[in-house]
Amino acid sequence: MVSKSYGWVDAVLALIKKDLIDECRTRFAFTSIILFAMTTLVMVSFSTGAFVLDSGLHAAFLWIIIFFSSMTALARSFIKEEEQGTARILKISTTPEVVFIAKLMFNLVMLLGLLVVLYPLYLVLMNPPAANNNLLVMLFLILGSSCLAGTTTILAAIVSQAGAKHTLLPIIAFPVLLPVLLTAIRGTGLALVGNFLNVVLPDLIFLFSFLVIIVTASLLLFPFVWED
Amino acid sequence: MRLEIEDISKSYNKKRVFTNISWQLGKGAIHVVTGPNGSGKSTLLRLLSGLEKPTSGRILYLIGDIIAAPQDARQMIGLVSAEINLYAHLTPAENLNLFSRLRGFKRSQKKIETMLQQVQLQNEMERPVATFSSGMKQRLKLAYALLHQPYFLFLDEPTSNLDQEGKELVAGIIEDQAARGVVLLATNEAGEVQRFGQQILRLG
Repeated sequence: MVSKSYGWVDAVLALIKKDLIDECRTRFAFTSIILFAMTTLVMVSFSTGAFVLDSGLHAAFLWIIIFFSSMTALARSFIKEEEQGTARILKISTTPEVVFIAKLMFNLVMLLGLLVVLYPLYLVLMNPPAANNNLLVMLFLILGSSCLAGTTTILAAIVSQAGAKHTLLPIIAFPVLLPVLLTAIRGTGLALVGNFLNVVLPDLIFLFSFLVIIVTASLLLFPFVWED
Repeated sequence: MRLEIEDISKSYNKKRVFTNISWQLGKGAIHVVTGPNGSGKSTLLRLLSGLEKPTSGRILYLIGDIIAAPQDARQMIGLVSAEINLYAHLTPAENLNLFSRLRGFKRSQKKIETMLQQVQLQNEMERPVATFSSGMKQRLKLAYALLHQPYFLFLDEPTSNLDQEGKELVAGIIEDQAARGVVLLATNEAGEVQRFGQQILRLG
């Protein structure tokens, strides 16, 4: 038998690479995220064009677009493996932890890709106030998206074992993500009007704590979801 | 090196698939499990591969002084089954490279080419698996199962969809592997049972 010479990091990278190649060839997840986000952004832009929105509303619109766009595609990470009959080959080829971390990273890459496209377009189309604290806004967007990716990855794994898998994720994810979304909306709103780190620090700490807890809990829970 | 199956039973929602199977599988012999459709051949292979757990009883892998449960012995198991699929959008070489890295080692491009040559897919290296016929996919699954040179090779209907040449290829692999480890073949083809059945378990 061949002895192991590479560790779990290489296995994680291999699985992320596989998902990226698969995504490049099928263009399903990223295309649907971007299409949903762009359509919603243009609709919001046209329908609110005559009004001056405050920063809280801007933050709410931004996060609503991110939440629903991500729900359309992130559920696919595990459902795809079940539908293609590749979940079993993954189960016998590597550990659950490798699968979870790789799927989490891939979902995070998808969401960061969405932010790279969405946020500049939002600034152009919606013209939010001041926007002189973009770095802090980006920090909220990245941290909030990481929380979204962490939560949807474990929930997608659970949902992939269920019957109505395509519609279930947004319903299950919403109550779990509500505190994240409310905190991210408040923090992003405050950052958009130019508040500094000392004002939004409690919100950043909350998001960071949520991320650590959800990823730790998911790593402990995932082997049971995946194996049984 | 041996595999011990101790008094295992399997039920799904109180529907019994099989009960109280005990069997010892050692190196050097080809073991065949046979029986009609629905008798539990594939279920038995899923249990042995650690994909499912038995309702009762236990399965032990013994390698030297090491005793391992199926979930912990996956690194030593190779499985060919209709229930596992390779990635359709990747090429055969990309698939083999991925699974070798997932198992914790890297195969050189040359080694992967040799493995594909062994299953006669050397001319199909650049095509995505989605464009393969079922026989070609079956050959690729064989290459996948042998990738890490497993001690235990489980083959569930390995010759289904294969032409005569493919069937001979599988026969050669079974005989080779039996000399190096434990081989278990699940089939309901009388010819295969007769040819390989040195130790036979009949289900159903």
